[in-house]
Amino acid sequence: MEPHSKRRRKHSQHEDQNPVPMDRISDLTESVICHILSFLRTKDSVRTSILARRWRYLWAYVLTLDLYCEEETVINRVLLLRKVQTLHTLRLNVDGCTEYGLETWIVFAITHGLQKLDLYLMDQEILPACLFTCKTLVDLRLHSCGPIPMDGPMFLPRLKKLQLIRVEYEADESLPYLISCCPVLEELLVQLFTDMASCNVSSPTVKRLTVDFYFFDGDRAGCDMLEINTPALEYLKIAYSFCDHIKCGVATSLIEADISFHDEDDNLSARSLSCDEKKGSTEPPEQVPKCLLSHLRIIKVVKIEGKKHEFEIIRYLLRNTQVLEKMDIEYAQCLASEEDISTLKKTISPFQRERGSAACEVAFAPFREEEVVEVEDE
Amino acid sequence: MAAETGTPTTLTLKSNDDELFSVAESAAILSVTIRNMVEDGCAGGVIPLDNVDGKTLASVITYMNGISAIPADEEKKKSYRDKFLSDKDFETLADMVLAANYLNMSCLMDAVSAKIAQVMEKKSVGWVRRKFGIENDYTPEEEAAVKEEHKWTFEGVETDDDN
Repeated sequence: MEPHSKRRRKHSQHEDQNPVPMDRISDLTESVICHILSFLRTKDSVRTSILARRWRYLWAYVLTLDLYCEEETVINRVLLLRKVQTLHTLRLNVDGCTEYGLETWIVFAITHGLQKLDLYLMDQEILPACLFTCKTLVDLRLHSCGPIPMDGPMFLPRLKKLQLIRVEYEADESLPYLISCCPVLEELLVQLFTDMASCNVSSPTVKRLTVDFYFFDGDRAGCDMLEINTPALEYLKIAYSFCDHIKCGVATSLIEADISFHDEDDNLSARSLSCDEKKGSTEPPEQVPKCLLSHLRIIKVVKIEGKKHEFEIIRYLLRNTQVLEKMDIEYAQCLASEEDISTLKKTISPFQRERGSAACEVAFAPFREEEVVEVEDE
Repeated sequence: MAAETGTPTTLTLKSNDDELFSVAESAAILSVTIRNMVEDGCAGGVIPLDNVDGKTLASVITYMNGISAIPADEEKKKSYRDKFLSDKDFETLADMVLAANYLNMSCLMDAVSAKIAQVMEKKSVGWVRRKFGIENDYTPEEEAAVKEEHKWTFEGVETDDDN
């Protein structure tokens, strides 16, 4: 659309009086008005066509559609009456529709340059397969839909942000499969809805990761093993964890971590957190993550080689955990001699005097490869 | 481009009513329009901004300084934007959205557009016409026809006699 030149009107004689119509919105160019309309639900945006002649078709040039609980016929009508080729953003909240209808809308959207899709399907409809090979998608939010397939064609070459909220998975492998098909993914949010034996999040590019567990009215989702392997991670949040075990790979870029364990009936079972901290220098965070340190009872630090930054982390964890019962320190094979191990113990020993939890025991043992399913290689 | 010395570069911006403003280059280049001028080496003297008046430019510069002082934390930036826009009346918002569009500042443009949209949400046609002073130039027959075409859009809307 051609931007209009400004059509400023003078309304100086009105300016001091109060309930004066301010015809400023008509001063705005049509492209600016369309941009404003893109922040409205489509229903509100279409209704502006009744305002005046100039407004009649403006909604039809808006690059965003936000359809909330509309009838199937209304959605079809809106798609047909638009006058612009591109559909940049589609927010679709559907409470019951035919599989055919849903597929038509998704195909329409991804053949019109869709960059952002926010899909909320209350009835857990089957997702059209073409969604997972969309070349233009940058931002995808799936809410209450699925199942996410565990194989088949899947490639989202531009996807940077992915939010999976209470979606179904065909199998535990579906999540790692989907993530592995997003080569430039930077931000990932997963809210688990159903129980999983293992939840594996591995990505060389993800910088921000939130893993959340659905909990409502006694219903909860959990998993036995949460495994995170994201070397570029800067921000990690694990909320309301119902995990028995959490395993973190190398996370040398981590700036902020917030891990909370769900306190069910005040009766915490033993949970473990093991970090494989090998490379670089990790600065301990300035602010102590609140929940991590008031609930965590067992920490296992593996493959310790006696490096300075490792001692800093151990010291930091010992000082700031208030209910810690046990810290297992497993040293790497390179610390073979009695002397090496005795040096390691001597270095850590003073930290125990400043530990936050008086009941905490520190135990040393050699690290055995077979304990860890996947071992990080340099 | 900025001289690679330790001292921050300052730019001088001129509004269409000839007011002059000094602003740190690091804050001013939030505007892609200004950034392009700086990169093309056109920012040596005074940068004229022909589509922005002094009152609006002062406000935009307050925003530039405020938002560039916040480190990369999207939540803090958002709360700054919300607070910055909270006391602005519609007329000011309309000036700001035009300025943000001209200066090519997408974060300000989006925030102001969303704020204006929020005002229009679920409001009747009559209310929006009155609030924004939009003159209805449809004939009654035309208006009735357009209403009929989009009658699905009237469910759940605040009603008034001018609906």
